[in-house]
Amino acid sequence: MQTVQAIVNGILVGGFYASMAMGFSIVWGVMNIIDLAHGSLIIIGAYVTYELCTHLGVDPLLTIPVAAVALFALGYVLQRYLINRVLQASVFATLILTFGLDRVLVNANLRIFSADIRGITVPYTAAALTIGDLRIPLIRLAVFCVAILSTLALWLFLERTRLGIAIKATSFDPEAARLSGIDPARIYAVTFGIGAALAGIAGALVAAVSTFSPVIGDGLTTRAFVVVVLGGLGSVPGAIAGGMLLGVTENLMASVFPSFSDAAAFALLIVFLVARPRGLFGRRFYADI
Amino acid sequence: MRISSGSLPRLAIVCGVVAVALAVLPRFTGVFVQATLADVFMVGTFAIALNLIAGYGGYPAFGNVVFFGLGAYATGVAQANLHLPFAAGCLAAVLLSTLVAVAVGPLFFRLRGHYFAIGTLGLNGAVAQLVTNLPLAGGAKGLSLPLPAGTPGTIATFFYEVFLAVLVVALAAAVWVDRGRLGYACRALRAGDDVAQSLGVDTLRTKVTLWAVSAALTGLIGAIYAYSVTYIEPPDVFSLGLSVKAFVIMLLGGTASLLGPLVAAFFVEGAVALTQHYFLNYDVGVLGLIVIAAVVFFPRGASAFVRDRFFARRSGAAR
Amino acid sequence: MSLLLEATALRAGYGELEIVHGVDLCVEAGEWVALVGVAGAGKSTLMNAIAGTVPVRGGTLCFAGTELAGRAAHERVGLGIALVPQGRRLFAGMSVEENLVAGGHVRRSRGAVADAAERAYALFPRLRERRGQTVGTLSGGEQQMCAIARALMAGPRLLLIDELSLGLAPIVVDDLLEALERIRRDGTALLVVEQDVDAALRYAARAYVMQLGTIVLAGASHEVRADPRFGASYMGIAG
Repeated sequence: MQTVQAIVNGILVGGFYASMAMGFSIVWGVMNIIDLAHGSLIIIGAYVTYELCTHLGVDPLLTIPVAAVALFALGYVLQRYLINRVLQASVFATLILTFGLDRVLVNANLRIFSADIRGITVPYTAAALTIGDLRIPLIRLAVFCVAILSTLALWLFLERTRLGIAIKATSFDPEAARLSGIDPARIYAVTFGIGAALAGIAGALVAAVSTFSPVIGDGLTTRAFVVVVLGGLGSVPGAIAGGMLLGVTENLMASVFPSFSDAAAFALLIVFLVARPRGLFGRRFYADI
Repeated sequence: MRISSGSLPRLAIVCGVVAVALAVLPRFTGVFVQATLADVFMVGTFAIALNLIAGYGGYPAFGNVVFFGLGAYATGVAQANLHLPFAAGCLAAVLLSTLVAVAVGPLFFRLRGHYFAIGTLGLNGAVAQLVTNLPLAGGAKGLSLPLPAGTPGTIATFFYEVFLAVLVVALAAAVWVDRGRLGYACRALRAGDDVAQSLGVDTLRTKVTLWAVSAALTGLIGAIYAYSVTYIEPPDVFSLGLSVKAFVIMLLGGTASLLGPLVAAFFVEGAVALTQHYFLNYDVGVLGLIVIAAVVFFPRGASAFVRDRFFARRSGAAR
Repeated sequence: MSLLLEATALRAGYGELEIVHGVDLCVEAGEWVALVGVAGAGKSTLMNAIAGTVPVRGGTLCFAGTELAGRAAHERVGLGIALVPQGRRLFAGMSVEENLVAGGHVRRSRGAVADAAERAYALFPRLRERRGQTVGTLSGGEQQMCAIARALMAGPRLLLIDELSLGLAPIVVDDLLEALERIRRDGTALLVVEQDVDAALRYAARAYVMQLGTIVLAGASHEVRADPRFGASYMGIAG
């Protein structure tokens, strides 16, 4: 029974992992940037939700659009005026740049919001669906649904809208995109904005179901990376499958060897990197393998 | 990326003068200056070792700090649990780091670019958690090492000299790689694995050798660091910040010069000391800004920037 | 006829290397102009300089009275210049339809994109049949059609084509040439780089012959073809 509960918990958290990883994945897939600040962007989203909930008493799930829009703006500006400047440089350069950015954001979060561990309680925190011994908290179920829906919305956006198609085109061949009248600098800014907006949504979800502080961003970035490797770069179904695989693995490990759940994630990462670097649903995007 | 500081004799003279000057320096300075310089040597060595695999090999080993942590814990366990002398701890650190690099190398060199970078990141994370859960290593509580004997002054001088000696070894290793057969193999590698193989280079062996040398040096400074601070814990010695600092030093110092990384290490460590002194609650952010500025203004390295600015006519066709 | 594109003493190249040394060239509205020359003559560099992917280093380049210097490639598409690049450069993992939608990025509305796609499909019915297919699965000729259709999606007044027939069967080239003639009759001027002299000059009103980065011969197609220097220049035999 404990195992079944661990699997269910893993699937629920896996949905959240998917939405978190999708933002990371689109930035990586389109611009070949590993965004080490992704975790900090998620945390900023979590604070947006936290502040709105505690000061204005808004339900955390209703703050999601605010977090998304705020983070989109932040991401757009960061890419347009900072990251675009080093896109032509090496893989290291962007990796180190986003690390530096992450440090700045972590420090800013610490100064603005303090290092205290925060959490939100909503009236329905304790409400849960029970099936036999199985217990599914309603808020976690809601978070799962929002996460999956936002991930699918991104997929629809990429497949069905002109802007989404322009983003895909730019990721395949930036120069041919310019010849089609597409401005890659703007597309990159929009793409990073979308990645950040998804981070904002993920942050709102973190705030809704668990506690957080400025320093947990690193762990979130690593998990986003693991999910992308498991699922395959740029793949939406991959992010969902990868998120659930990671969530279930972590929860099963935690129920057997509580202190090795991170190592399990890393082990899974390394196995996939070596045995199947394209992931479960990987396609050719931009990055080299 | 070839080291190009003129002829070998002149290079030897310059290095000799610098080495002698640095060797006699402790006679005239206090504990603080020695400790700060020892830090510069440590980070400089880390950067030189990283440059071997990242610069020469072309493999961005973002998680190279894993060897630093392994070295620190190897010597920690050897000294604290097995009561072995410091030298034995250093030997254990070098052996363990080299062994790990040789063992995981063939697996990891199937990856490239970001995938390799993050693979090493994952290795670092996994090893850090294993160490955290190893009762022998003190777990999350950390591990205390025996205190070095002597007064604060003699201890500072001791670590200053040890780090300086390792730095010299690292520089020698860099020259050896650059001028020797390994350097030739690396240049062939950068033209592509196929090209290198057609020239008779055993590509995997070359890469593993490079990484092993890099790991040995990194493990060694990890061991010395552990003994110098006498207390280690996983978040400290497996900290990615150290890897990033080394990458920034590589960027600023350039990969083509011998003393460049040392000068860059001096500036970066100086900046770290100053920000910790003057911006106590903002030091992490200020460091982040320094990192961002380094990448934005010198995306291909400070030395390349200087070359492009001032010697564009001469070197323009080279790239 | 009005002057659409005018290059005077145009110089262009990559980095330190100058490839196009002072070219004078013009294209009138609705005109078909051929650009021929041996490989390495600088034709592609000239085309890319007009499209904006290679920097102009000197001279002037005007399009419909607007100076093009300082305008990025994507802005030039908005002005009415579209290039079918050498090697076609289709968005490989995307479908034919998605490639066309990407090509119509400068259009104001979804409806305008749909109309443009409809006209492209009318011109190349084969593409309509394969609209959902990934472009990687198309034949060489179909890929070239798709590349031309993608460029047309922006509604250009000047269509630049770099290497029309490379690697294609003669019968496919005939089809493409006829399609281009229809495009021209609908009012789009053409500047076409082509290796095959017969194909290049069949419909073109005028032709330029390029050699070592300069124009060595220019005039009406039949005059160029009849010029004794044409064979020598074109074959790359000096004197």
